[in-house]
Amino acid sequence: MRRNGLPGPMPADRRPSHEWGPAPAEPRAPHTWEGGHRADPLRAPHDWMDQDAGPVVRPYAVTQGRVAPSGGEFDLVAFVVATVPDAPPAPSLQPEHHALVGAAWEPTSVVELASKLDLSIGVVRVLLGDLRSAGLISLYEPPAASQPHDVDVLKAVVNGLRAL
Amino acid sequence: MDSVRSDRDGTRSRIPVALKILIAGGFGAGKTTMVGSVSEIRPLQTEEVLTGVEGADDTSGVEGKRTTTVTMDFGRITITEDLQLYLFGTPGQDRFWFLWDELSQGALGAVVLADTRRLADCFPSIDYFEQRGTPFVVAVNCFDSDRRFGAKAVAKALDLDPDVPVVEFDAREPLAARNVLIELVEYVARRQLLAAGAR
Repeated sequence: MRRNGLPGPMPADRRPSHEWGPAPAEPRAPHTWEGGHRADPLRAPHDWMDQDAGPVVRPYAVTQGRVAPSGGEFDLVAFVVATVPDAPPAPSLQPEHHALVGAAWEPTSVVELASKLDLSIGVVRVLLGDLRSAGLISLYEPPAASQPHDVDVLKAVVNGLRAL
Repeated sequence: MDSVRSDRDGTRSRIPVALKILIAGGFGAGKTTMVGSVSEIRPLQTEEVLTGVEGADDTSGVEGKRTTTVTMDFGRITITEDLQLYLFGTPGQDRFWFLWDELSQGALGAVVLADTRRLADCFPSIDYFEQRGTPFVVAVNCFDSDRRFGAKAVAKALDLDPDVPVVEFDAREPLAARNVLIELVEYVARRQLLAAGAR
Protein backbone atom coordinates (compact mmCIF):
# COMPACT_ATOMS: atom_id res chain seq x y z
CA MET A 1 0.00 0.00 0.00
CA ARG A 2 1.25 3.42 -0.88
CA ARG A 3 1.80 5.88 1.89
CA ASN A 4 1.21 9.56 1.66
CA GLY A 5 4.23 11.33 0.35
CA LEU A 6 5.36 8.51 -1.89
CA PRO A 7 5.45 9.17 -5.55
CA GLY A 8 2.43 8.11 -7.45
CA PRO A 9 -0.30 9.54 -9.53
CA MET A 10 -2.26 12.38 -8.11
CA PRO A 11 -5.95 11.82 -7.65
CA ALA A 12 -7.58 13.18 -10.74
CA ASP A 13 -9.56 15.80 -8.92
CA ARG A 14 -6.41 17.34 -7.47
CA ARG A 15 -4.47 17.51 -10.67
CA PRO A 16 -3.66 21.02 -11.76
CA SER A 17 -5.72 21.33 -14.88
CA HIS A 18 -2.94 23.01 -16.88
CA GLU A 19 -1.09 19.71 -16.85
CA TRP A 20 -3.73 18.27 -19.07
CA GLY A 21 -4.32 21.03 -21.53
CA PRO A 22 -7.71 22.61 -21.97
CA ALA A 23 -10.27 21.25 -19.60
CA PRO A 24 -13.07 19.21 -21.09
CA ALA A 25 -16.02 21.19 -22.21
CA GLU A 26 -18.13 22.21 -19.27
CA PRO A 27 -21.17 24.39 -19.26
CA ARG A 28 -20.01 27.93 -19.19
CA ALA A 29 -23.36 29.19 -18.07
CA PRO A 30 -23.53 30.38 -14.48
CA HIS A 31 -23.58 27.44 -12.19
CA THR A 32 -26.63 26.56 -10.26
CA TRP A 33 -25.01 24.01 -8.00
CA GLU A 34 -26.19 24.26 -4.52
CA GLY A 35 -23.97 26.24 -2.23
CA GLY A 36 -21.76 27.10 -5.14
CA HIS A 37 -18.80 25.34 -3.57
CA ARG A 38 -18.00 23.40 -6.72
CA ALA A 39 -16.21 26.02 -8.66
CA ASP A 40 -15.93 26.20 -12.40
CA PRO A 41 -12.98 23.95 -13.23
CA LEU A 42 -11.84 26.48 -15.82
CA ARG A 43 -11.58 29.13 -13.18
CA ALA A 44 -10.74 27.05 -10.17
CA PRO A 45 -7.64 28.27 -8.41
CA HIS A 46 -4.83 25.81 -8.87
CA ASP A 47 -3.56 24.05 -5.82
CA TRP A 48 -0.09 24.30 -7.19
CA MET A 49 1.31 27.01 -9.35
CA ASP A 50 4.73 27.25 -10.94
CA GLN A 51 7.36 25.57 -8.79
CA ASP A 52 4.83 24.36 -6.26
CA ALA A 53 3.41 22.10 -8.90
CA GLY A 54 6.74 20.32 -9.15
CA PRO A 55 9.05 20.12 -12.13
CA VAL A 56 7.44 19.73 -15.53
CA VAL A 57 9.67 16.75 -16.18
CA ARG A 58 10.03 14.42 -13.23
CA PRO A 59 13.63 14.61 -12.00
CA TYR A 60 14.50 11.00 -12.56
CA ALA A 61 13.04 10.98 -16.06
CA VAL A 62 16.44 12.23 -17.18
CA THR A 63 18.01 9.06 -15.85
CA GLN A 64 15.24 6.80 -17.15
CA GLY A 65 14.35 6.05 -13.60
CA ARG A 66 17.75 4.86 -12.51
CA VAL A 67 18.68 6.06 -9.04
CA ALA A 68 22.18 4.64 -8.59
CA PRO A 69 25.22 5.49 -10.70
CA SER A 70 26.79 2.68 -12.67
CA GLY A 71 30.21 1.77 -11.35
CA GLY A 72 29.54 2.66 -7.71
CA GLU A 73 28.84 5.67 -5.53
CA PHE A 74 31.12 8.62 -5.01
CA ASP A 75 31.39 11.48 -2.56
CA LEU A 76 29.54 14.79 -2.78
CA VAL A 77 32.88 16.57 -2.92
CA ALA A 78 34.53 14.17 -5.33
CA PHE A 79 36.04 16.16 -8.18
CA VAL A 80 34.91 15.66 -11.73
CA VAL A 81 37.20 16.38 -14.65
CA ALA A 82 36.11 16.04 -18.25
CA THR A 83 38.50 14.07 -20.42
CA VAL A 84 37.24 15.82 -23.54
CA PRO A 85 36.15 19.43 -24.08
CA ASP A 86 32.81 18.32 -25.52
CA ALA A 87 31.04 15.02 -25.34
CA PRO A 88 30.57 13.55 -28.81
CA PRO A 89 27.00 13.38 -30.07
CA ALA A 90 25.66 9.98 -29.13
CA PRO A 91 22.14 8.68 -28.87
CA SER A 92 22.78 7.49 -25.33
CA LEU A 93 23.71 10.98 -24.13
CA GLN A 94 21.11 13.46 -22.99
CA PRO A 95 21.56 17.23 -23.10
CA GLU A 96 22.29 17.03 -19.36
CA HIS A 97 25.22 14.70 -20.00
CA HIS A 98 26.66 17.21 -22.43
CA ALA A 99 26.12 20.05 -20.00
CA LEU A 100 28.00 18.15 -17.29
CA VAL A 101 30.96 17.46 -19.53
CA GLY A 102 31.02 21.11 -20.57
CA ALA A 103 30.89 22.30 -16.95
CA ALA A 104 33.67 20.00 -15.76
CA TRP A 105 36.59 21.07 -17.91
CA GLU A 106 38.15 22.57 -14.80
CA PRO A 107 37.99 20.20 -11.82
CA THR A 108 34.57 20.74 -10.28
CA SER A 109 32.97 19.01 -7.33
CA VAL A 110 29.85 16.89 -7.72
CA VAL A 111 27.79 19.14 -5.48
CA GLU A 112 28.80 22.22 -7.40
CA LEU A 113 27.86 20.66 -10.71
CA ALA A 114 24.44 19.81 -9.31
CA SER A 115 23.99 23.36 -8.18
CA LYS A 116 25.27 24.94 -11.40
CA LEU A 117 23.06 22.79 -13.58
CA ASP A 118 20.10 22.99 -11.22
CA LEU A 119 19.74 19.23 -11.09
CA SER A 120 19.27 17.14 -8.00
CA ILE A 121 22.34 15.46 -6.60
CA GLY A 122 20.94 12.00 -7.12
CA VAL A 123 20.32 12.69 -10.79
CA VAL A 124 23.75 14.22 -11.29
CA ARG A 125 25.34 11.16 -9.74
CA VAL A 126 23.59 8.79 -12.13
CA LEU A 127 24.57 10.92 -15.12
CA LEU A 128 28.16 11.16 -13.94
CA GLY A 129 28.22 7.38 -13.56
CA ASP A 130 27.21 7.11 -17.23
CA LEU A 131 29.90 9.56 -18.28
CA ARG A 132 32.50 7.73 -16.24
CA SER A 133 31.54 4.43 -17.89
CA ALA A 134 31.84 6.12 -21.28
CA GLY A 135 35.31 7.43 -20.37
CA LEU A 136 34.22 11.05 -20.81
CA ILE A 137 35.03 12.14 -17.27
CA SER A 138 37.36 11.12 -14.47
CA LEU A 139 36.24 11.15 -10.85
CA TYR A 140 38.61 11.84 -7.99
CA GLU A 141 37.48 10.97 -4.49
CA PRO A 142 38.59 13.31 -1.71
CA PRO A 143 41.48 11.70 0.14
CA ALA A 144 40.07 12.92 3.43
CA ALA A 145 37.20 10.46 3.27
CA SER A 146 39.35 7.55 4.32
CA GLN A 147 42.21 8.97 6.38
CA PRO A 148 42.47 11.13 9.48
CA HIS A 149 43.17 14.71 8.67
CA ASP A 150 46.78 15.72 8.43
CA VAL A 151 47.74 18.30 11.06
CA ASP A 152 49.77 20.20 8.47
CA VAL A 153 46.69 20.47 6.29
CA LEU A 154 44.71 21.72 9.29
CA LYS A 155 47.35 24.36 9.99
CA ALA A 156 47.17 25.46 6.38
CA VAL A 157 43.38 25.76 6.70
CA VAL A 158 43.66 27.89 9.85
CA ASN A 159 46.24 30.15 8.23
CA GLY A 160 44.15 30.41 5.12
CA LEU A 161 41.06 31.32 7.13
CA ARG A 162 42.94 33.95 9.08
CA ALA A 163 44.09 35.53 5.85
CA LEU A 164 40.53 35.95 4.56
CA MET B 1 49.62 11.33 -4.20
CA ASP B 2 47.22 10.40 -6.91
CA SER B 3 44.67 12.96 -5.90
CA VAL B 4 46.80 15.53 -7.67
CA ARG B 5 46.42 14.92 -11.30
CA SER B 6 49.08 15.70 -13.82
CA ASP B 7 47.37 17.16 -16.82
CA ARG B 8 47.82 15.89 -20.27
CA ASP B 9 47.90 19.42 -21.60
CA GLY B 10 49.12 21.12 -18.46
CA THR B 11 46.69 24.01 -18.72
CA ARG B 12 44.00 22.89 -16.32
CA SER B 13 44.05 23.18 -12.57
CA ARG B 14 45.10 20.34 -10.37
CA ILE B 15 42.58 18.48 -8.29
CA PRO B 16 42.27 20.32 -4.98
CA VAL B 17 41.93 18.60 -1.64
CA ALA B 18 38.38 19.17 -0.45
CA LEU B 19 37.50 19.31 3.22
CA LYS B 20 33.92 19.20 4.42
CA ILE B 21 32.56 21.12 7.36
CA LEU B 22 28.96 20.69 8.40
CA ILE B 23 26.84 23.51 9.76
CA ALA B 24 24.08 22.01 11.88
CA GLY B 25 21.48 23.25 14.29
CA GLY B 26 17.77 23.62 14.64
CA PHE B 27 15.42 25.28 12.22
CA GLY B 28 16.05 29.00 12.03
CA ALA B 29 19.28 28.87 14.03
CA GLY B 30 21.19 30.63 11.26
CA LYS B 31 22.68 27.79 9.20
CA THR B 32 21.87 29.33 5.84
CA THR B 33 23.03 32.73 7.03
CA MET B 34 26.34 31.37 8.23
CA VAL B 35 27.05 29.41 5.06
CA GLY B 36 26.20 32.51 3.05
CA SER B 37 28.29 34.90 5.10
CA VAL B 38 31.57 33.02 4.73
CA SER B 39 31.19 31.45 1.31
CA GLU B 40 33.18 33.02 -1.49
CA ILE B 41 30.68 31.84 -4.03
CA ARG B 42 27.08 32.87 -4.01
CA PRO B 43 25.67 30.41 -1.52
CA LEU B 44 24.24 27.67 -3.60
CA GLN B 45 21.39 25.42 -2.80
CA THR B 46 21.07 22.03 -4.22
CA GLU B 47 18.17 19.72 -3.96
CA GLU B 48 18.05 16.07 -3.26
CA VAL B 49 14.85 14.60 -4.55
CA LEU B 50 13.48 11.79 -2.52
CA THR B 51 11.82 9.03 -4.36
CA GLY B 52 10.41 7.25 -1.35
CA VAL B 53 10.56 7.87 2.35
CA GLU B 54 8.93 5.75 4.97
CA GLY B 55 6.84 7.58 7.47
CA ALA B 56 7.05 10.85 5.70
CA ASP B 57 5.27 14.05 6.57
CA ASP B 58 1.75 14.65 7.47
CA THR B 59 0.63 15.48 4.00
CA SER B 60 -2.96 16.36 4.75
CA GLY B 61 -3.96 19.01 2.31
CA VAL B 62 -1.23 18.17 -0.15
CA GLU B 63 -1.93 14.47 -0.54
CA GLY B 64 -1.14 14.59 -4.21
CA LYS B 65 2.34 16.01 -3.86
CA ARG B 66 4.54 13.36 -5.32
CA THR B 67 8.02 14.48 -4.56
CA THR B 68 9.68 15.69 -1.44
CA THR B 69 12.67 17.84 -1.94
CA VAL B 70 15.28 18.62 0.58
CA THR B 71 17.42 21.64 0.06
CA MET B 72 20.99 21.67 1.18
CA ASP B 73 22.92 24.88 1.44
CA PHE B 74 26.49 24.74 0.52
CA GLY B 75 29.31 27.18 0.21
CA ARG B 76 32.97 27.08 -0.63
CA ILE B 77 36.11 28.73 0.67
CA THR B 78 39.28 28.41 -1.35
CA ILE B 79 42.20 28.27 1.06
CA THR B 80 44.84 27.73 -1.57
CA GLU B 81 44.71 26.52 -5.12
CA ASP B 82 45.07 22.99 -3.77
CA LEU B 83 42.85 23.23 -0.73
CA GLN B 84 39.15 23.97 -0.61
CA LEU B 85 36.73 24.03 2.26
CA TYR B 86 33.14 23.02 1.60
CA LEU B 87 30.45 24.08 4.01
CA PHE B 88 27.22 22.15 4.11
CA GLY B 89 24.16 23.33 5.95
CA THR B 90 22.52 20.15 7.16
CA PRO B 91 18.86 19.69 6.41
CA GLY B 92 16.89 20.58 9.50
CA GLN B 93 14.19 17.94 9.58
CA ASP B 94 14.76 14.71 11.47
CA ARG B 95 13.66 12.52 8.63
CA PHE B 96 16.68 13.52 6.59
CA TRP B 97 19.14 11.91 8.95
CA PHE B 98 20.25 9.56 6.20
CA LEU B 99 21.63 12.57 4.36
CA TRP B 100 23.61 13.51 7.44
CA ASP B 101 25.39 10.17 7.25
CA GLU B 102 26.52 10.94 3.78
CA LEU B 103 27.47 14.51 4.62
CA SER B 104 29.46 13.58 7.69
CA GLN B 105 31.34 10.83 5.89
CA GLY B 106 34.92 12.04 5.97
CA ALA B 107 33.93 15.46 7.28
CA LEU B 108 36.54 17.48 9.09
CA GLY B 109 34.07 18.51 11.75
CA ALA B 110 30.86 20.33 12.46
CA VAL B 111 29.58 23.61 13.80
CA VAL B 112 26.40 23.25 15.83
CA LEU B 113 24.50 26.51 15.89
CA ALA B 114 22.61 27.14 19.08
CA ASP B 115 19.80 29.61 19.46
CA THR B 116 19.42 30.34 23.15
CA ARG B 117 15.72 30.97 22.73
CA ARG B 118 15.30 27.35 21.62
CA LEU B 119 18.33 25.57 22.95
CA ALA B 120 16.71 22.15 22.82
CA ASP B 121 16.62 22.39 19.02
CA CYS B 122 20.32 21.61 18.82
CA PHE B 123 20.21 18.52 21.06
CA PRO B 124 19.73 16.08 18.16
CA SER B 125 22.71 17.54 16.28
CA ILE B 126 24.93 17.27 19.33
CA ASP B 127 23.83 13.70 20.02
CA TYR B 128 24.46 12.79 16.43
CA PHE B 129 28.01 14.14 16.29
CA GLU B 130 28.87 12.75 19.72
CA GLN B 131 27.75 9.30 18.64
CA ARG B 132 29.62 9.42 15.37
CA GLY B 133 32.73 10.84 17.00
CA THR B 134 32.67 13.82 14.64
CA PRO B 135 34.46 16.76 16.28
CA PHE B 136 32.20 19.77 16.71
CA VAL B 137 32.09 23.20 18.26
CA VAL B 138 28.94 24.89 19.49
CA ALA B 139 28.40 28.40 18.20
CA VAL B 140 25.83 30.45 20.03
CA ASN B 141 24.23 32.68 17.48
CA CYS B 142 23.65 36.02 19.14
CA PHE B 143 20.79 37.74 17.45
CA ASP B 144 20.29 41.41 18.23
CA SER B 145 19.77 42.22 21.87
CA ASP B 146 18.83 38.77 23.01
CA ARG B 147 22.18 37.64 24.24
CA ARG B 148 20.58 36.05 27.22
CA PHE B 149 23.11 33.40 28.12
CA GLY B 150 26.84 33.25 27.92
CA ALA B 151 28.94 30.48 26.42
CA LYS B 152 29.51 28.89 29.82
CA ALA B 153 25.84 28.70 30.64
CA VAL B 154 25.14 27.14 27.25
CA ALA B 155 27.92 24.58 27.70
CA LYS B 156 26.44 23.64 31.04
CA ALA B 157 22.89 23.48 29.75
CA LEU B 158 23.97 21.25 26.88
CA ASP B 159 26.00 19.01 29.17
CA LEU B 160 28.97 19.12 26.80
CA ASP B 161 32.32 17.48 27.31
CA PRO B 162 34.52 20.10 28.94
CA ASP B 163 36.87 20.26 25.95
CA VAL B 164 34.16 21.06 23.40
CA PRO B 165 34.57 24.73 22.50
CA VAL B 166 31.54 26.97 22.84
CA VAL B 167 31.73 30.37 21.19
CA GLU B 168 29.36 33.26 20.81
CA PHE B 169 29.05 34.85 17.44
CA ASP B 170 26.78 36.58 14.97
CA ALA B 171 26.10 34.40 11.94
CA ARG B 172 25.64 37.45 9.76
CA GLU B 173 29.18 38.69 10.34
CA PRO B 174 31.63 37.07 7.92
CA LEU B 175 34.54 37.61 10.32
CA ALA B 176 32.66 36.14 13.24
CA ALA B 177 31.63 33.12 11.21
CA ARG B 178 35.21 32.72 10.00
CA ASN B 179 36.43 32.77 13.59
CA VAL B 180 34.05 29.95 14.44
CA LEU B 181 35.56 27.90 11.63
CA ILE B 182 39.07 28.64 12.90
CA GLU B 183 37.97 27.54 16.35
CA LEU B 184 36.70 24.27 14.90
CA VAL B 185 39.79 23.50 12.84
CA GLU B 186 42.10 24.29 15.77
CA TYR B 187 40.02 22.01 17.96
CA VAL B 188 40.26 19.22 15.38
CA ALA B 189 44.03 19.72 15.22
CA ARG B 190 44.29 19.56 19.04
CA ARG B 191 42.33 16.32 19.08
CA GLN B 192 44.48 14.92 16.32
CA LEU B 193 47.67 15.72 18.21
CA LEU B 194 46.25 14.23 21.41
CA ALA B 195 45.27 11.07 19.58
CA ALA B 196 48.72 10.85 18.01
CA GLY B 197 50.33 11.35 21.43
CA ALA B 198 48.20 8.64 22.98
CA ARG B 199 49.30 6.08 20.45
